[in-house]
Amino acid sequence: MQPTDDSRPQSFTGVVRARTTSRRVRAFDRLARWTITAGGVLTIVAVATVCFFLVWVALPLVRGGSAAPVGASLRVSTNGAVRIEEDPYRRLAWVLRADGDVVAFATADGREVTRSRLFDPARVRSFATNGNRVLLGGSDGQVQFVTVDFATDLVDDVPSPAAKALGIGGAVVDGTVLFERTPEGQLRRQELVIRREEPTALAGHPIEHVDFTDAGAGTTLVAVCADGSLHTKRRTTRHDLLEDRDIVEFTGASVALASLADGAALANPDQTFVLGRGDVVVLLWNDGRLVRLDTRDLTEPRIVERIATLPAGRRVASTAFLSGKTTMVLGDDLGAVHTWFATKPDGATTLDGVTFVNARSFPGNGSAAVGIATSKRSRLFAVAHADGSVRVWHGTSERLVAAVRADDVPLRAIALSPKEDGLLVAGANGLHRFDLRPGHPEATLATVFRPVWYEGAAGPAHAWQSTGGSDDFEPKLGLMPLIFGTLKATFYCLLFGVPLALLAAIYTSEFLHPRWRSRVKPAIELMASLPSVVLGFLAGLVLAPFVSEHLTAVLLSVLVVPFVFVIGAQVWQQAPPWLRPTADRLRVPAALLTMPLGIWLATTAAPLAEAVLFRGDLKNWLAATALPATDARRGSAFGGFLLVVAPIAALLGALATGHLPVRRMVGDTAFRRFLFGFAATTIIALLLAGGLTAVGCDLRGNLFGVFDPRNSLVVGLVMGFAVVPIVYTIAEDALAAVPEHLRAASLGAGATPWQTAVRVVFPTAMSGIFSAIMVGLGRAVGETMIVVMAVGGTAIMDPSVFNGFRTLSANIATELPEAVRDSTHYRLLYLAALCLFVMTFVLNTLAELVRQRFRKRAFQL
Amino acid sequence: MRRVADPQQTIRARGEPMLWLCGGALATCLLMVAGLLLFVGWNGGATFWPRPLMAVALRDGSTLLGEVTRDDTYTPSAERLAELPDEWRTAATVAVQSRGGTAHRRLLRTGNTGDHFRWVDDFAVTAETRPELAVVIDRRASVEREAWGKWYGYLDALLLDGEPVATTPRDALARIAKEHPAAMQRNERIESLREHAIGRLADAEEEARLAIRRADLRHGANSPQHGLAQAAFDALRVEQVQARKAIDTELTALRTENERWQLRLRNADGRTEKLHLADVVRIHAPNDLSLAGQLSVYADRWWEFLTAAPRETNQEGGVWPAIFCTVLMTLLMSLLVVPFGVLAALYIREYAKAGILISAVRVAVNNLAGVPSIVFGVFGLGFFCYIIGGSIDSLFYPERLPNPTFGTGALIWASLTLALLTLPVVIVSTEEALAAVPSSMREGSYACGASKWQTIRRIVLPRAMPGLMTGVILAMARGAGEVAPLMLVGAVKLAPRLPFDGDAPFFHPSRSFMHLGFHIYDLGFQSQNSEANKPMVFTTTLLLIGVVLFLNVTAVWLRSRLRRRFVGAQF
Repeated sequence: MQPTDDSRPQSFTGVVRARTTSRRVRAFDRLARWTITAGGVLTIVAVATVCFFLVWVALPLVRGGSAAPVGASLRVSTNGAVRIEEDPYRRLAWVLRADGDVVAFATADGREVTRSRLFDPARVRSFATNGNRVLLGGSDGQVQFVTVDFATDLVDDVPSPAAKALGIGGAVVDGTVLFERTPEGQLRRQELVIRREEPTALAGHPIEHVDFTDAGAGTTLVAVCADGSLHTKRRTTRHDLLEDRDIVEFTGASVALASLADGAALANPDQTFVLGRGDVVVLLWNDGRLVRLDTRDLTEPRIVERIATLPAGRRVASTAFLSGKTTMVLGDDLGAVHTWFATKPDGATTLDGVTFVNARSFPGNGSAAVGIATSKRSRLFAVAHADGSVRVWHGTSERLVAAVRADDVPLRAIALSPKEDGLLVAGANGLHRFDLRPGHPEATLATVFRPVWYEGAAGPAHAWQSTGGSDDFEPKLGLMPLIFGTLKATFYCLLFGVPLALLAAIYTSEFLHPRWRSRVKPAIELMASLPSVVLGFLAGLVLAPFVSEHLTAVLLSVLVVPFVFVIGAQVWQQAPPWLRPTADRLRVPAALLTMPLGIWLATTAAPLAEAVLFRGDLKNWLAATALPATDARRGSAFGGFLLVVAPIAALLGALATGHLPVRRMVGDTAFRRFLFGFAATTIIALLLAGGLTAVGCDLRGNLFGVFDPRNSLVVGLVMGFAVVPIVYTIAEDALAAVPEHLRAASLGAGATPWQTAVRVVFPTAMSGIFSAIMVGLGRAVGETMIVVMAVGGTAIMDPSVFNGFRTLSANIATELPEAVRDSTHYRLLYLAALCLFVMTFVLNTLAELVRQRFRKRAFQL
Repeated sequence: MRRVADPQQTIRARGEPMLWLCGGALATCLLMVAGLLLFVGWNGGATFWPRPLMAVALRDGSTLLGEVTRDDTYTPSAERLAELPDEWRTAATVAVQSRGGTAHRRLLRTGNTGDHFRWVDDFAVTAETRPELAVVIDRRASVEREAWGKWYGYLDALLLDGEPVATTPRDALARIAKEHPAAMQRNERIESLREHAIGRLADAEEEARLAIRRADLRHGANSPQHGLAQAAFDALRVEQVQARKAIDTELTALRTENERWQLRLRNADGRTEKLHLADVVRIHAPNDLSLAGQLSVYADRWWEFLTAAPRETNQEGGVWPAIFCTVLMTLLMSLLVVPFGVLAALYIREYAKAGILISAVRVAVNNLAGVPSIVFGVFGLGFFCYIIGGSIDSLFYPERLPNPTFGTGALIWASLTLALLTLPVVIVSTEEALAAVPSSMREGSYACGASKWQTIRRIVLPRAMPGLMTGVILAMARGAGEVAPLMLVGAVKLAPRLPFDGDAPFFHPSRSFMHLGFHIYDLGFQSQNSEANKPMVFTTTLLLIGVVLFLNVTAVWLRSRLRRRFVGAQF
C-alpha cells in the first residue's frame, strides 16, 4: 500500500473516529510508568545497598589511624621528667620528676593544680612503675609502694560556684580539684591522690634496681642491690586480728648474683625486670645482653638463657612492657623497637622448656627511641625518638598507627592516654598534646588472613578468639579458621549431598514413570522448605547423640547400604525378559525395602567390625591419636584406611569388571562376574589399606581425630539433607530439559536406556548439573542454624571428620548480638559477612553464567 | 559351544548396579523426608499424651515415681558395678552377665524438685507397679516456692482453711475439678491486674517522666514548660496513689482467697507436702484415666499450648505469643515485599529496555536469592536497627536516649530484613509469571487501543496472578521458617509485651518479638535443662513444620489450580 499524501488518516467507510487517547488514560499511563520505574529502580538500588553497606562498615578496618597536635604546647617545667600520665578524660596530667616531685597540671592551660613530693632523691636509689603503682627502692634497703592515681567520681552538689555554673563540656580547677560537666550533664570531680604504703625492709644494702608484677598470687618483687645480691620475693599481706593491722610478709630468696652458675659475668646489670606472673626475671645490659632467670620457684632462681637482644653494635635506649607485662619492648639507639616474650615451643633446649623470642621488630628512623609508652587496654605503644618524631605502633599487627612530630628536642617522656585517644609528650620546654585516633590498629588484612604470632604462642598461627576472661586478654581476630570451618562444612556436606541428589535426579528424570515423577519431585522439593532451625535441632539433639552411640554402624551403613543395592541389582539382572518391565517398575519400591535391610546389616556387623578393626572400640581407637606411634594401645591404622579406601576400591573393582577381559577369566554369567567384582574390590581395598599401613601412614591426626559428639559427620549428614533438594531440583530440571529427540535417536540406534542416560543425556545436561552443584555449594556455605545448633564449636583448623569447627555464618550469629557497635570485633564480623557474600556471589554468578550457556546450547540442539 | 550374550543385556549395557544405586539414592531421599516428618510428627504429637506413671522400688530402699521418657541398652563399666553396695553387687553382676555384658535402663522423669530425671537400671529394681491413683501435677512457679514444673505423687486430701474437705483421692480429685476453675480465674485476674492495671500506671508515670525530659531538651531545664511537666508529673503521682491502693486491695483479697485452698500431697517416699490449689495448673491421675479422659487431657494440653503464654522460663505453657508474632511478622513482611517485588518485576519485564543493564540486574537478583540469610541479618542490624532506627530515635525520641526505642532489634526491622531476604523470590516468580503471559494477548490488547498500563492492569496482571501468588506464598514460607537473621534483628526469648495489644496506639512496631523458630533454638540450645525441654521443642517444631508445609502445599496447589484455569486462555 502506498502512503497517501494526506496526513489525516483515511477511513474506508468515511467515518472518522477520534484517535486521541483520553487525557485520563494518558495520565494514568504516565503515572504507572513513573511509579513502576521508580519502584523497580529503587528495589534494585536496595539490592546493591546490601553489598555496599557491608563494605562501608568493614572499610575502616583497613584505614590507618591518625594523630594531630591539639592546642598550643603547655609551657610547664619538664626538667628531669621521668614519667608522665594523663587522666582518662584528658583534663589533667602529672609529671614525675627525677627529684621526686609529682606535679599535676590542667591540660587546658598548663596551670599547676597540685605538687607533692613523692620521694626524697637522697634516700631512693631506684624505682619502678606499673600501672598507677610506683615501687621505690631505698638506699637503706627498704622498699615502699606508692599509688599515684586520679580519684574520679560524679558529684551532685559542690560548694564551688564556678563548678556549678559550668556548661556542658566545660571544666574548671578549684584548688586541687578539677570539675567537669559531662555530656550527660553530670558534674565530674577529679583529683590527683597519692597513697603511700608503709616502707618495709627487703635487703640490707642500697637497692640499685627494683621491679614488681601484680599478676598471679600476690605481688612478686625483684631487686638487685649494690652488693650484687639478687632478691626474688613474693609479698603477701596478712591481716592481724589482734593488733588490727595488715602485716606485710616477704617470702623468697636472696642470693648473690655471683653465686649463680657462672654468674661472675652477671655483675652490674643495667636493668632488672620481673615478667608476667613473676616466673621470669630478666637482667638487661645496655648493649642488649639479656640473661633470663627461671623464678617459678622463688627460693631458687636459676639462669636458663643468655641472649643478645639487639643487633651487634646497638644499645638499649628505652624499655617498656605491653599490657599484661609479658611482652618486653626494647627501643634501640637507631630507633628500632623489638618485642620479646617467652614461649614454650616443642623441643626447646633450655632447662625450663621456655625460650625468650624476638617476635617482632619495628623499623627505626635512625634516631634513638628515647621513650616508650604502652597502652593499658591493648597492644598499642608509642615511641618518642630523639629527633622529636613520635610514632604509634600496634604490637601485634605491626601497623604504624600514626606518626607525628614534637619539635622540642630532646623529648623526655611520653604517655598514651588511658582511652587511647591522646598522646602526651614531654619535650625540653613543655608538654605537647596530640589527639590520637587509632582506628582499628589490631586488624590489618595481614592479621585477618595470615598467621599471627600472638603473645606466648610458639609461633605464628591462625586463630579466632574474640573474647577472653581477663583484662589483659588480647582478642585473636584471624578469619582463616572460620573460613576453613566454612569450607570444611561445605566439603562434608557436598560429599554426602551431591552424589545422593545427582543419582536421585538421574533416576527421576530418566527411569521413573512420569506419573510417579510428578509426585516424587514435589515431595523432595518440600524438603527444601524445611526451616533450617528444625534440621539444626534434629542434628543437635537427636542425630548427634545417635551417631555418638552408633558410630560404627553409621559409618558402616555408608558402605553397606550401596553394597546391598548392588546385590539387589544382581537379583534384578537375573530377571527373565518377560519380567523385566515389572522389575523396572518395582526397582524403587524394592530399594525402599532394601535400605532398612542394609542398615540392619550394618548395625549387626558393627560390633564385629569394631572388634576386628578397631581394637574393640572405635572411640578408644580414635582417642589413641594422642599416643605415640610405638604404643601398643594405639592399635593398627588398618581399619581406618579400610573405611576410607573401600569406596575407591569399589570403583576400581567395578572398572576392572567392566573393562578387563573378565569373560575369559571367570565365565559369562552375571553372577560370576559379580563375584569377580566383589573379590577384586575386597582385594584392592585390603591391599591399599594394608600397604598404606605398612608404609606407616595413619589417618588419625589428620582425617580422623578424637571423637567429639558434635562433629563434622553430623553436620555433613544434616546439611547434606538440606542441600539435596536444591541440587536435585536444578539437576532434574536440567536433565529433563534435554530434548526428547536426542534420547529417541540414541535409543533408536540401539543404546540401552542406561547408555542413553550416561552417554547422551548426562553430558548434554552437564552445565546445568554443574550449576546445580554450585547453587548447592552456595547454600552450604551460608547455612547458619544447622551449624550453630549441631556443632557450635571452637574455631580450630583440623580436618578431622570427628570434631567440630566454626563457620563464618555461625560465628556471626553467635557473636554479633554481643559485639559493641563500631568496635573492631563488630567490623570484623561485617568483614566475615562480606566474605560470605563474596563467596556466594562468585558461586552463584558462576552457576548463572554456566546455566545461560547451557540454555543457549540446549536451544541449538 | 559359546553362547554370545545379547549386547543389550550385559551388566555394562543395562547398568543395573548403577540403576540400583540411582534408585537407591532416590529411595534414600524419600525415606529421609518421610522419616523426618514421621519422627517429628510422632515425637511432637506424643508430647501431650498422658503417660502412665510408674512406681519403682529400688534395691537401696528408695522408691521413685514418674514417667518413663526413654530407655536404652548400654555396657556398664566395671567401676560402675564395683561402686554398688556389697549386698546386691553379685546379683547385678549376674544380671549384667546374663545379658552378655549389657544392661537395660530407663530414664524416669521424677519431677518434684531440682532433679528432674533419673536413669534407673533394671538390675537395681526390686519391684515396679503402676499405682492407680498416683497423680501428676503441673505446677506454676510462685514467689514463695522455688520448685515448679511436674510433680508426681499421691493426693491425700483437699484442705479448705486447713481443714480437709475431701479425704479420699477420688473425692479430692472430683472436688478439685469443681474448685479449680475458680482458682484459675482468680489467677487470671491477678495476672491481668499485675500486667495491665499496674503496667498502665507505670506507663503513665514513665510517660510523664519523659515529658519532663522532653521539656528540658526542647526548652531548657529552667523553662516554664519544665515546670508544667513537673507539675503534671507530681499531680499524676498523687492521683496514682489511690489507684494503686485499690489494685493492692483487690490483689490481697484474691491472694487470700487463693491461699484458703490447699492440697495435701504425699510423694513417692511418703513425705507429705502442701500445695496451693492456685499453683496447680492441671492435675490428673494418668493411670486411672479412661480413653476419653486421656483424650480430654491431651486436647486440653494442646489447647493450652496453642493459646496460652509460656510460663516457667518457656518450659511449660504455650507458644501463643510466638505464633502470633510469627504470623504478624510474616504478614508485615508480605505487605512490604509484595509491592516492591511486583514493581521490580514489572519494571524488568515490561518497561526496561533489554540491554546489558537489565541482564546485570537479573544476575544481581538471582545472586541475591543465593546470599546467605545471615548476611541479610547483618545488614538489617547495621542498616535498619542502628542507622535508620538510631536516626528515628535521635529525631523523635531524644528524651528516651540512651535507651533505644527504634534503634535496636524490633518487629518492623525484622520484617524489613525478611522482606529484603524474600524479595528475589517474589521478583523471580513474578517475572516468570509475566513472561508466561503470551505476547499475543498483549498485542491483542494494544490492537484494541488499550494503553500500556491498561494492558498490564487488565490483561497481564490477572493472567500472572497465579505465579505472583505462588511467589508470595513461597516468600511467606521462607520468611516464617528463617531464624538466623532474626537472631540479630530482634527475636527474643520472652517478649514481655506483644507488638499488638490493647494499649494505644495498639500496634507497636518497635517492640521485640517472639518467633517459633527462635523459640526452638532457644528452648533446645540456650536453656539449662534441655532434656526436660525436648518434648516442648518437638511440639514447637511440629507446629512450625506444619505452618511452613501448609504454606508450601498451598502454593503448589494454587499454582496447579490456577495454571489449569488459565491453560485454555491463550490465543
